[in-house]
Amino acid sequence: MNIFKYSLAISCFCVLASCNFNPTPIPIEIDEPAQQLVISSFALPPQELIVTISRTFSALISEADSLDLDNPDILARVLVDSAQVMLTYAGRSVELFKIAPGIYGSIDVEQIPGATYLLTVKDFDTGLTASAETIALPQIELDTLYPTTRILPSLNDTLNSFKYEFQDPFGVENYFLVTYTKSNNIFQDILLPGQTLFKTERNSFNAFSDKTTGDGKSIVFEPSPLFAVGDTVFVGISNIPKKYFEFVSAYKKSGNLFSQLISEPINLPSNVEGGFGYFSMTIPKFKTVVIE
Amino acid sequence: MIFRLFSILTLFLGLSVPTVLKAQTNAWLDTRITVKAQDQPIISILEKLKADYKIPFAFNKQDLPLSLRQTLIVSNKPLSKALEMLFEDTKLGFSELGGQIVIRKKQASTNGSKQSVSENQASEAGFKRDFTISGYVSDNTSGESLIGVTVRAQSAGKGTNSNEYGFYALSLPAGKHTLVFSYIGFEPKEIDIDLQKDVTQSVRLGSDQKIFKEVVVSARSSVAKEHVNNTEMGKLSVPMEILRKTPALFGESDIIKAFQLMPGVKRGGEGTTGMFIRGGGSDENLILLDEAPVYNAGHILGFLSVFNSNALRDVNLYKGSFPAQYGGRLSGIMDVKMREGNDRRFSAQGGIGNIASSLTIEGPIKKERGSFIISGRRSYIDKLVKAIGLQFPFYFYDLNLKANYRIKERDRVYVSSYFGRDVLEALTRSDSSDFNAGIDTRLGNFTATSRWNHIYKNEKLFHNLTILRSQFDYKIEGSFSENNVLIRSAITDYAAKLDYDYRPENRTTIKFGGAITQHIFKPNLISVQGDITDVLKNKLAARISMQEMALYGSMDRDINDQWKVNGGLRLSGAVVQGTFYKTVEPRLAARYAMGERNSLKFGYARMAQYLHLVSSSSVALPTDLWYPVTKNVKPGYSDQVSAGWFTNFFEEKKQLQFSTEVYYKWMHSLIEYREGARLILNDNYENELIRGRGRAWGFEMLVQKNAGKLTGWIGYTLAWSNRTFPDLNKGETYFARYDRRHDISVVANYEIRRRFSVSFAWVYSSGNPFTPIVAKYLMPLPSYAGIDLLPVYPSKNSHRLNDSHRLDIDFVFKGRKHKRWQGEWHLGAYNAYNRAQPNRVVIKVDPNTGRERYEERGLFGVIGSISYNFKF
Repeated sequence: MNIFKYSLAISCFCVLASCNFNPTPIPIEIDEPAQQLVISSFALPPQELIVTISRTFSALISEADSLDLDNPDILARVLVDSAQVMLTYAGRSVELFKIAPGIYGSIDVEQIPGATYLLTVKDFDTGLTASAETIALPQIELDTLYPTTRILPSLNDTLNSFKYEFQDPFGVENYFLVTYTKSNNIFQDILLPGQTLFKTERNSFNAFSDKTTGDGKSIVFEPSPLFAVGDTVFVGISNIPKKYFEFVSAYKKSGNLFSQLISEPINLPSNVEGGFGYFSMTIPKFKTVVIE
Repeated sequence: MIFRLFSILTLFLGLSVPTVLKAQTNAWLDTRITVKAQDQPIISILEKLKADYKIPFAFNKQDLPLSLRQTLIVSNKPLSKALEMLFEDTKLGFSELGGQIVIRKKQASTNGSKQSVSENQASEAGFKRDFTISGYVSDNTSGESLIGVTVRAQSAGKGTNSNEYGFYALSLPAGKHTLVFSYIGFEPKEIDIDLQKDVTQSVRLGSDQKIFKEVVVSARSSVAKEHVNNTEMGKLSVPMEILRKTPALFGESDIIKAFQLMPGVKRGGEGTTGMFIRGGGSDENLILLDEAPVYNAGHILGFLSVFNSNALRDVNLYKGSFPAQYGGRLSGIMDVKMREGNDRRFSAQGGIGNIASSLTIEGPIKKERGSFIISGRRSYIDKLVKAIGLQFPFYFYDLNLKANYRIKERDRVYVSSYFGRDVLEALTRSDSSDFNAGIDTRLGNFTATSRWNHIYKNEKLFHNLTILRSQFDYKIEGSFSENNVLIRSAITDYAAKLDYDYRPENRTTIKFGGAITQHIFKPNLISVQGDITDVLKNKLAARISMQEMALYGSMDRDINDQWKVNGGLRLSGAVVQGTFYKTVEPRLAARYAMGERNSLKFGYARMAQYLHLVSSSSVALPTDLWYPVTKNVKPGYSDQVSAGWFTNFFEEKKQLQFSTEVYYKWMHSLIEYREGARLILNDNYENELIRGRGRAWGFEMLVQKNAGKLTGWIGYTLAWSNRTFPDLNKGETYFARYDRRHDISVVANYEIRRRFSVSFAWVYSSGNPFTPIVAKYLMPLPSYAGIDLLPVYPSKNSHRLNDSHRLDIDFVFKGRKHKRWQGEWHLGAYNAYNRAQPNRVVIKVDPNTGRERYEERGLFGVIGSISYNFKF
């Protein structure tokens, strides 16, 4: 073997030994955007309104930190503890009182179909302000609601769910939100992107447009069977404005790890000026069903 | 009709100036001179021309009639005309040989004589009529057709080039001529003919290793001149010999990776084979392998292309000024021709590399009548990883086959095929329980092409008839306990294509033809068993058919010494779901010569696209699906104007080719996805599509050195590309995904010794835009079932990754030749200084500060490679 071959063998060894599959990462500077207010609301019959108000926070807060809602630093950064929250509608102004950090409410809000509701928020800690306007729509009810059972013959398996039906009022462009909430998990979980591959909670509501279901026709639907025998499910139906329908539809598409991997990035549409979230005055009508 | 259209087009441009000038453009005889000499000895006139224009005359003084005095008054005439006038009443003739104007006494030609007969001699002989000689030009050693061979009849001052099928046709006055065939790397061949009728004469050129340096320089010079003289713009070529010397990831030469080093072609993330040409998307490029479209050009999620360099003969990439025979995509056409095989002797070549090996065998079917080539490649990452106790059950393989046969002198038939597969077989089975889980993924391309080349009896018309089939399909079978999922998709094309090449006279080449393609789309067949049916439903999506057709014609014509124009028109259309879409696609390319070494070029092209790739912008998968236009989704089209300056420096020795181009491209009816759109396994993908427009403009510069010990190129691109969609980013214009401001590439090969050379490639790119999550917020679910953490995105593509740069090196050691065995070692390093190349952005804790930060991560650091290539 001559020197050339020795050199070649040594070079080969060096070349392979030099492989490095983990180059040093390079930091990227991304400016943190200014904080903004986040608003959401729940109207409950007969005259109750709850508004949650929080702030956006840096994406660089680790998920472990943001999970820990007992951490006072995180809470102070996220929840709005001191704010003026005013609701104006039909010539009236109502100031919502603080129930808990980030939660404001009133038991004196009339729900008037066709009325416009204006919510204004001023965060005393940061000086941030936001406002949102929405309209209340006449509500409808579920006509029928009953449990269903399907048997998969090939696997001798049983799938439990329920079915409901309601009538779309004829001659008006309507959008509906139907929610399914098990009695034992209202506000139980904080759902984080990546926490689960498929968040079944995305299946806990459906939005319908009579543009696709047909004006004046009955809408019959059976949700994905994600319930166990014995579950009591609150099924709420709301007649919602088009903007809220767009918000809910986008919400359904977003959020979990699978969606973030395969979907296009999306900022949820919002009716909040100077912030995120959605202020609605839709009043759901509930019925319950027990899964059999 | 087509002729009329061309005439109108040409007249419209004001370029239809009939001239009597010769088509010869590459010789001293074309040099335009002005001289006023009254009643002077011939030798004095020649010396004056030599002094004024540095024309290298060669003559024997004894041949010149010293006593004869002539008058020559010409103004801005070619030298050939002037000499004809000067020698009109003498027995002197002239010809250009070896770069010199040789003057000698006219002799009666004999067989085998190298003396040419000039055009006026033929006229004197009374043979006024032109005849045509045509045929194929091929490599004498292997029989491979040679593309772009220069064919010249020096004395007649006429010339032509062989086309992409090796066909040439040259019309000459009746009489005796010497034809010179020259091509880079081959010994020029002279053929004496006595043209008394149209004839077919195929020619084989020898690649003689001992050819004189001057001959190589001369042939290269001819190629360099063609770079200035032709109308082509926005065309890139990487010769296979250069490709094999270019450093590459894992030491695997890859034609797409090589094009990514050229100006105007941007690469995607690290290790991907996507090309983003002049601001277009990666699905806006048509990739043809022996005329058949290849729908997925990547192996291993795109780390390598499907093209085995041992099986390739010629590859061209068009990024603008598209010839009329090409269409179907908005931004780029990559035309890959497979090798034809050696028709004289059996031979083999192959390579053993880090992750894959290949072997190519070729030989005659019947000596000098037909040949075949079989080329195969397989990766063995799975075996290597298994050897060290790990599992990575992935491999790919591909197979190229081609055969050709010359039935008659005028007729050749070809069949070729490609078959490749990527396979991922992962299965976990527990012996202690019934549990098992696994995934079996297979995807790949299949192409089959049959071609018939024919030269018509008038020797001026040639056709290439192609019938082809192309398919891309994938199958994913997954199992998890009692659940089984099968997902299949496929796109299949059946096409017929007829291309004519007509050369009515030497200054004009007309190409026309048509193609019809039946596309069959079978998207998203899903078969599900088990509990997973809760989430995934059985589905047999409708099979979709689309007929795509095109008619085209183009004419390439030397208007005069300055202007050469290539005008064309392509009429394309598609029928789908009862809707007929059609697009008129004008094409125009023009060259304005400024002397022999400089030219300005201008181009315009409209392109249309009738199918698109439905792919998530978050993650590109090989399973992304091609879909046709529909009633609601209209075809996209683009208009591109470009201009360029082409020149050669140090033409005789260093051979520096320099070109700059500027372009502006409008893209219409582009497809994007709604915010939040979910595309994978989505039946109603159409509802997720939105339409918008794009703009791209830029400046490109390329310097190439093709001769000497140091060869290579430097490319620079300054470019912008943006998109505007009414339903995206609040209707505001945003930067396209791979909008990078600057791209620089330096590729060089230096031959240190005869058997030892080194190559390196250094690339620099500005960071491309992306849309990070900049903030988060908490939001209760509409069903009150929980609180969700949601991302806040800034405006689309508003942030940029860091600039990236990388150095790749390759050392080549050639072994001594043992009988017929020739081997060479390649030792290389990819990303030699270990800088992370942009691949993904993550949020991680900074080890120095303990705080979270955004990080750009790469796939590979420095990756060494060793490969051994051989042939015998």
